Amino acid sequence: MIKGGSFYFSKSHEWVGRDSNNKYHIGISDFAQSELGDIVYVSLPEAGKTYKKDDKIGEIESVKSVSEIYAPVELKVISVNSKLNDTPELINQDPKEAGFIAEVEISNDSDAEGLMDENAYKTFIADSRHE
Amino acid sequence: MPKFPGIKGIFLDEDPLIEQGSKRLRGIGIPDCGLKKSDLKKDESAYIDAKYIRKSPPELPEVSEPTVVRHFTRLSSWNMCVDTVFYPLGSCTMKYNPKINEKIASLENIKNLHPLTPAGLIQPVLKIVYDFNEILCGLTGLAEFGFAPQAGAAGEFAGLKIIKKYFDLKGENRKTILVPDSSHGTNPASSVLAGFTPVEIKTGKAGTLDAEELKKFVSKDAAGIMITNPNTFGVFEKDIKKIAEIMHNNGSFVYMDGANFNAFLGSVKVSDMGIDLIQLNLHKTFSTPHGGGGPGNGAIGVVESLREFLPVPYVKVGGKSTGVEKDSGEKADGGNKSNNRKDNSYSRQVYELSEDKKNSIGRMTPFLCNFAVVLRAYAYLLSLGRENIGSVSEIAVLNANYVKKKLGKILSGSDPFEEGLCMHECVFSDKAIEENGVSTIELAKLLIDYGFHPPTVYFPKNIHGAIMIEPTETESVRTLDNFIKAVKEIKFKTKKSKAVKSPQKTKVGRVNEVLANKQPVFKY
Repeated sequence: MIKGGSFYFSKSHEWVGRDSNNKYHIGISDFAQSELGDIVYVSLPEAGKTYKKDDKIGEIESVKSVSEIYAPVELKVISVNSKLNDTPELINQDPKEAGFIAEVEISNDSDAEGLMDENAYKTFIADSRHE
Repeated sequence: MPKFPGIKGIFLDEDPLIEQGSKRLRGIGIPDCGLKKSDLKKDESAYIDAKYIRKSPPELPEVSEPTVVRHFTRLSSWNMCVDTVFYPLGSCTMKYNPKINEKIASLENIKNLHPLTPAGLIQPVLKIVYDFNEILCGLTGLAEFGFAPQAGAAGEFAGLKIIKKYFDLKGENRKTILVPDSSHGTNPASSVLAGFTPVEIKTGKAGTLDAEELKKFVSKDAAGIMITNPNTFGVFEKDIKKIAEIMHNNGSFVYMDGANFNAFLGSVKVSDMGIDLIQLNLHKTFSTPHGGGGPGNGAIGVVESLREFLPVPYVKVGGKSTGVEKDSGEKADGGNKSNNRKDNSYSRQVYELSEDKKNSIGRMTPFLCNFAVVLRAYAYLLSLGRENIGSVSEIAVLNANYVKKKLGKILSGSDPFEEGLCMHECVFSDKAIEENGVSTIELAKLLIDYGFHPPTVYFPKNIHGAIMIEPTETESVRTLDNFIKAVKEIKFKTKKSKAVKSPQKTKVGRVNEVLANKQPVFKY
């Protein structure tokens, strides 16, 4: 699916992944899933709908709390990962592959590239933990 | 295998009542109803519609009276409640409820009161609601309270509906409600339900809303602001007067979530802070057992200009009733001094249930209100007395700061607001306990084994692994010291292997939270 692709991260802990066929997927980061704890429910975005950057596109409920999922970039949802309806724990198990949220279309490739890359995101997490 | 209760102390095993029965055993004798079975058989449908006639007898426990009493007494001994343990649940005042409230709410003529009883026959009930409104107005400086909302969030909803209707009548289309992220979670939800779009404002490092930051969000679109004060970090919004002024200059309302009223009850009037509307959670601040869905009362208070918008029905004073008492004995005279006792004549205020509010948002409940909650709140206030009401918030704040300072030393570096004082509750992050390998949820579960109800955990969300503690004014320093000692022991002595298995001393041990969330099973 996204294997071998490149990942970009938002400050609200979503990722955008571009695979070798130039297709885009979105999800939440490994750090985000570990902070949330066991995920019990995911409310997915609407297929076919266009969202602006930072729009609320869904919700994740864990045993601790309910958190919102934001659009990391301006995007159009092509299809959602409906497996999450019955097995939301896929996000805990494999946030960057089987636990993706949706396949999306992005108008500008540069939007994704404008986010943090893996290294920058790692530094961002380390900094925010020390706050 | 037979079970022997009481051998090892508390009996932690109990079959469902229905499994404790014996065929045809009867706990009580019921008098003969006068109908023979053979009478019924002839033509059952003469008595009961055919579709309601059972094919088989109902499955009821067939047990003796002592079995029932012992069953429920045992079950009650497993209950972790404010009557058995310290209950430091932050963000939701859970104080001990004085038993006198229950005694009064359980009086025969109160608990058997029918909601459709005509006003003329329940004058004392209406007088209590009327007088209680006056007490709340005195405590808040507002003009009137509506008692229809049956919960805090229902009070918020009523308040926002009032704001909505006010602007609708004025012909102004104001679409948004400003909600700082330090307000209660129900605030944005109530805004949406009332037809507004909530706009979130981020709070600063001090945990409070900055007046300058607020200005960036103020526009003619804003119908009002919903602010929780003290906010959900337990910090007092110092800029509140400035915030109110900014909103009022914009023609907008200031709604305060009064769920944290316990922090300043009797010390400050909300009218002095510039508040236009507030809901008071009578079940929290004024002590009614609650949780798990009720019963509650989220009385909605408003300023003079919004009185006509309150929900109906409400209690108002009608004319006076005069007459002559038939009995010559001691009689209540309604407190009227002009009453001449010698000739037994009286003159009493008459209370009416009225729907006469010209801009009312309408009815929220089938009847007047959750009266038993109002009554408990009234009893609570009268038993305290006007001169002692202020000490409720003084001691609540003192207790919270005691815990904040003492626990702050044990959980060093975990208090995000270390510098200042808190109001009625304090909050810590998981920084210090995590260093010892214990997570917030494990601390919460371990506390149960120490005989404490866990504090609120993982809320507020913007504090990492939050632990939120509200001791309330009802707890003694000895209880607080014991609680602090328990946290200290957990932090320094607990092994991870024990933490993940806790609680171990309760009827139900560690529950599978994921399964409970994903596949809840509801049964008796």
